[in-house]
Amino acid sequence: MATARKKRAVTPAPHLRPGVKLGRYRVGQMLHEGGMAQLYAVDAKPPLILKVPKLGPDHPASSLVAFENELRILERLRGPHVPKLVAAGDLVHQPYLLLERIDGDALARAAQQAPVSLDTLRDLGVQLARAVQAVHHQNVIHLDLNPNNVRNRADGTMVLIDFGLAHHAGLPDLHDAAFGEEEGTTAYIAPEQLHHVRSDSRSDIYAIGAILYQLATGHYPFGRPNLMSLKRRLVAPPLPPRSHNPQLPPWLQEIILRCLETKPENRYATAKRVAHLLAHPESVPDTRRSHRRQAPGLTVRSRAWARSVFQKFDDDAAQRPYERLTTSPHVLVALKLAHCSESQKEALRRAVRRLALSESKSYFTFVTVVPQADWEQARQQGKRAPDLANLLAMRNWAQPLRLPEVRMVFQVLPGEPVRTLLGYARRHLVDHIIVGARGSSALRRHLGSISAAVAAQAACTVTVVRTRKDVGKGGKTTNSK
Amino acid sequence: MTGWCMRQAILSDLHSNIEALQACVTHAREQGATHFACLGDCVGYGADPVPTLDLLRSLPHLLMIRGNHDEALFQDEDIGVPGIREALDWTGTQLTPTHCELLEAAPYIQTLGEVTYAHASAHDPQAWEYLRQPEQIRACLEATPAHITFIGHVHVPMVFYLTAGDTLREHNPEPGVPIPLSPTCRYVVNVGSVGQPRDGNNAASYAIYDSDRVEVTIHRIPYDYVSAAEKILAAGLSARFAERLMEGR
Repeated sequence: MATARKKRAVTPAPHLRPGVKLGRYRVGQMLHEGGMAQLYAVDAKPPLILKVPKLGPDHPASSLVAFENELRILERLRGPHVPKLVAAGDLVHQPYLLLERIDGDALARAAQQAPVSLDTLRDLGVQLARAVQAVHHQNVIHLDLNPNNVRNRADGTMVLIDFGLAHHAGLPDLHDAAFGEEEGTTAYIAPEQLHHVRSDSRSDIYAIGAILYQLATGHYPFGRPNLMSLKRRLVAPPLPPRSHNPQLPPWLQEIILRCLETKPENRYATAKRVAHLLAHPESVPDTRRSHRRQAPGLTVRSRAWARSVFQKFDDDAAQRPYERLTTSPHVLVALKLAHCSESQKEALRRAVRRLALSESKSYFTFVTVVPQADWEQARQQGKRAPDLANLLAMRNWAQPLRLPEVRMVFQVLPGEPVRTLLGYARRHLVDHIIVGARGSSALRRHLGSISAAVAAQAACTVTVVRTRKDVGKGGKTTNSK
Repeated sequence: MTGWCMRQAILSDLHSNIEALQACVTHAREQGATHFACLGDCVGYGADPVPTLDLLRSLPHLLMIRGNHDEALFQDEDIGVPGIREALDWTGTQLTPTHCELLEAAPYIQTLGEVTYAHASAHDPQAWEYLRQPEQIRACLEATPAHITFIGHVHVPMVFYLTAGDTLREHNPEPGVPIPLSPTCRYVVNVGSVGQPRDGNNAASYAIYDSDRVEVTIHRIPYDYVSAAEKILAAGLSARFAERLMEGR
């Protein structure tokens, strides 16, 4: 029976060559030839690319599996962070993919020129993490992220390409290590992938860490990509990036090393968390390892080695990527403490505490929006930090929560309150907004309109917090949209 | 059946539950099902054998497979569930010769083109194995040349597949999400149970197979299990059968 199936599946490679017509398209010159597929230009508006798997006795049988896998996944992915699938050939008779062509290769070029400037690194890192987040949000794990598999559009939006190795949590996984298939790209592959675990979205976080490491230092995290470098990542952390480049800020080293943790559960849970921290370095905790400039001492290394002997990479209780996103929510808490009564402050803290306890991976950005005019005025008066008073007030308010630093970011933003809050929520992919209701009748017009407008316009869940006392005046205790 | 385009609703383990069957058939028709298959165990547990078999008989292009409860109806042997012998004997008193003919005529296994249909397994179908262990699933795959084998009997929907590298895997299907079937793999699809779901979800379970797109979708359909349970109690059958409908276990 197995032979019957194979006869059905493996047909000779179709004769798709330059000059051949494919429907209304003409195949152009060959752009690239990889181990599993050939890429051809297709002259169309907008320009397209034709991907043809290499089939037949001289080519790996896994190239058909990779092709089918990519087709299944691209059929299901949407949005600006993946190439559009224009057409696909029949799997059995003439397999091909006709895809949107995206030429930008800013990340690949930066990786070649690495080390790059801190600004470039942060910009590329944030864009990359957003693209990965968008794919995870659709239940897909890429599993082969490397600078050559990331393209960018003219506006800088990153696009992930080559989903041949990817995993869709809602579909049966076609990949099979027993079939001699590759598991990823050596320099960027996560330790659990070496143990054939393909269902953990944090494998992509590891690859983001490896790419950031390369951008920051010009080196791969575990040296030249070879068998030794694969083994090394299972037993020890990489050399600290600051050993290559002592000028790197400690916060960046901390982000990179956390992404490159051997155990998936020690890495950041989501890609958007990485993007958020790259944008807010002040909330990255200062640890001993964030300052380290040499390989960790013998004790640390032997402890890591001993742990690795017993390390298990569990595939059984795998969370679907989308579930992981919902259990690691980014919560925006809008505060206007100068206008809050003590009971309102306590009610807001209770709302935050409930979420912090129920979702242990949640993290919070506390924001106070100040009028643009006040901000400018403070700046003109030469104050070094026009937002200092507000920052201190927020930190003081947050103290009873006893949340670790790593779960909190404090921000003072100038502008019109509703637009500023919603803009921040959109940029940083906030999952939940907590906002206080109008405090007293004197402020009703001012604050009331803010919570109502935020609740009406936000793209995520909004909790409007009211104190018990206000209920008598015609409102509910809390109100979730 | 190759080269012929059809959308086939595959129902199994109806167990005389007309409320569940009605809900599944209505849903399947809305989904554009043109063909129907019943993988056996039409009777047993439930209190509506006659309406269940009547509705089943009326379905277009119906393919019938025999299950262990259908067989036990005509034999005296016990199938090991407390109260089921009484339920089957009671069922026997309700059925007309037409109903009995429908059940007696059903084969244990049938292969049409790329697809095999069986109640428990394609391997030794009369042994009524519960297909859970890898070696049992491999034996089932080896017993048929088909690309896809549809089974029931376990009352839990699940997709098992053998990859091109000869690795056996399982996939827990998400209700309503079509699963594309690769030509490089071979599949055993358990469609779950219409009338007695037992995976902790009390919604009826059935599958739609689209031969044109080569896709299978498991659907979970909520139905009026309270009425079905009340009828079981009213007919004097084991109260446990009624409880199980509510719990989905």
